[in-house]
Amino acid sequence: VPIAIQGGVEGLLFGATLAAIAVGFTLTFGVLDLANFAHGDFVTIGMYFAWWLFVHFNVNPLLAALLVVPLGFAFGIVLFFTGIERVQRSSRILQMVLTLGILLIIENFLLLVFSGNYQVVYLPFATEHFRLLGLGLGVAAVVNALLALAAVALVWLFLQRTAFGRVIRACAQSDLGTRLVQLPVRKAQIVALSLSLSLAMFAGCLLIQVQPVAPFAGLDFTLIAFLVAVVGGLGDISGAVIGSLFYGAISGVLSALMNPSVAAIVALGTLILVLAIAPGGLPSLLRFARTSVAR
Amino acid sequence: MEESAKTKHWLNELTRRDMLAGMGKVAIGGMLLSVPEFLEACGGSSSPPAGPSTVKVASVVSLTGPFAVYGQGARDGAKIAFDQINASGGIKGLGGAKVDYVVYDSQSTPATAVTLTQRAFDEGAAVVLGCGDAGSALAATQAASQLGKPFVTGDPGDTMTTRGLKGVFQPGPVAGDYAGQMVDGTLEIASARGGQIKKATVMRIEISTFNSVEPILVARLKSKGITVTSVSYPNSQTVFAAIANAAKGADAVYHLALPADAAATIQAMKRQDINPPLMCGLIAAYTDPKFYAQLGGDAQGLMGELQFSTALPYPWLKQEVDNWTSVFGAQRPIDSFAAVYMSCAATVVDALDRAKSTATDKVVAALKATKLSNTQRFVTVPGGVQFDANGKNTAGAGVMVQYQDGKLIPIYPKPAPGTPVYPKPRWT
Repeated sequence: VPIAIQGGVEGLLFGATLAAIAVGFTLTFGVLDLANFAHGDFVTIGMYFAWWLFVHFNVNPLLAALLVVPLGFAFGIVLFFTGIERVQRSSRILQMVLTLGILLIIENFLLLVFSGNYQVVYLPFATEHFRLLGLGLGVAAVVNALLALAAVALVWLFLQRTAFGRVIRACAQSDLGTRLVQLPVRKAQIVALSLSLSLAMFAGCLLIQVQPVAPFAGLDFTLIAFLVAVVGGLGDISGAVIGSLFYGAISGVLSALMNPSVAAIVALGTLILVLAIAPGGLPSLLRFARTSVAR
Repeated sequence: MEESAKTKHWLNELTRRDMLAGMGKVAIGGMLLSVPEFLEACGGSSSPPAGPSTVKVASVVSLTGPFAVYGQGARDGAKIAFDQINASGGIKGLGGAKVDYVVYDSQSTPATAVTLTQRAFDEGAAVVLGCGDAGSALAATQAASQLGKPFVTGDPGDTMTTRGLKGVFQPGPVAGDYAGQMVDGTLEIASARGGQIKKATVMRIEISTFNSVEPILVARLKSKGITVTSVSYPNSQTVFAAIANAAKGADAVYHLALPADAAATIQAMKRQDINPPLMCGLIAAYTDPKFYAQLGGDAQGLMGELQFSTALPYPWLKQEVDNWTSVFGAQRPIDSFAAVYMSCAATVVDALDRAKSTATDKVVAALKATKLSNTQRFVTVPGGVQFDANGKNTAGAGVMVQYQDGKLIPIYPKPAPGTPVYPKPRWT
């Protein structure tokens, strides 16, 4: 199998886990009109949570991924009432200052508690692999990708098929309109924020199986999630998933075709190029392509 | 180096009993006496020679921020040495003056390291140590040099002592020395066991220390007639398939990596069934305990490099390991940074002892004339410490180790006690 395909598939698997992070980011942006720059730090919290449970109680990170969901909701509720709600109608700058402040508090708290040393979880199955169509695939990477996509699918079903999900989508379309028809906007925003943080922490529990965690890892997750969410069309869940898979695959393929240091720049450059061509991101690019074909 | 094991040196005059008695004095004296009386009591001499009662030595190290783990090791390695030297009577050449060890947190930030280095000298430090991260150390050494003050760094970057700075000393081996030793060691190990290295792959993460050492490593390999393939990747790399693929067909892989990405690359190699007969990680790539935690049995046969190993046959080492364990516990063994900063502390105290003064010119002159061997207490750097005109240690080297049944066994150079395993077992 050509190495570009191996790289592309591995990138796709990472992109699937990234999708859970990016969907959370885009959900907060869509419903609360807030770019949460501390979003990636909740991935880090999830990683530390899984690591801590594993080291002290020998709890498998996959079980921790289930336990972390209510914790994400608790964080969402606390964060909403103590900070987010207060800056929601303020300027973007104030929102940015608040979320960057939360980022600094979380990172320095983690540093204080866990030190600057990185932490890993060693699970024998995480180093195992299997062969499929000539590709060597890591068991943990495949399990992570499937679970992350399943979590995203559950959130999507909740938003599409439940009455409260429709309220959240209504908020995303028009905050004012939703208020006018007296739907519970505040409640919808709290649930959206909590879901978003739960997804981030869930992804963290998965990622700790394949990569280490350190207190300052959060910003990298935020920036990539932000970028792929923008490319996918901010506020658009399917767009965030497509953007994540696209980024993962393209960075995996490019690293096989050129020096990986250059490939990282080219992969990010490709995302920016997509935005330059279609400021609405991949969905608008696809719509443009469909219209062109129809003509 | 030239001194025999029988040579008397003040560092060796310390016995465990003296140390414990001295530490007891420190604790009780600190509670009961005023500072001058307390220091006099610790000195253990009724009529000490004239001189300062304390000598301020500062560390500017990264205690917080991304490089905190290295800075904390640096702080503690120097502190444990200074504490014991104080407890055993201080610096003899300065009339038993105690080291007043002051630690500043550079927060892993070069700008802060510069400010704190200036502050440390303003507040009377005779020498400053640091920094735990290469960026801060580069900036702080520059600042110290501009002030005309001595700075002793344990950081392994080659550029610390290649910029023509005055008063900068680097007791640990530099990254380029590690690279040279790794090439010589691997060639010797392979050829002694019927193998050969004709094609090598160099894998490198893009960070400053490795960027500066890679050309040295590649040049050394090429000088031995070896064909080299190089691949580099950014710190944010998440997919390692292509990096692993670069090792296909190589007789040896040289890895300039951090432990986490080194483990990820090896896992990718295993998935792609790429099995070079020899694989080694430079500096801390493979020797961090968490590297082994991530790989488990797959680490068998991998070679790494250490600044220091507790298995080395230094006469004073067992006692120091026991002392370290009694202070920090068995869960935190002496790491390379702690060990190299022990050497830094020993170098500084030895220089102050010979200078018999804290005047900058005399301390710098004494540092330049340093000649310490591993028979001397706290000199952890294999080969000892002896500086060239730039302040680089010309005597020191690392020690090559190999994972054998989950343990890091010193294998090169002699007197390392282990026997190398070659070729490395295949991953299945």
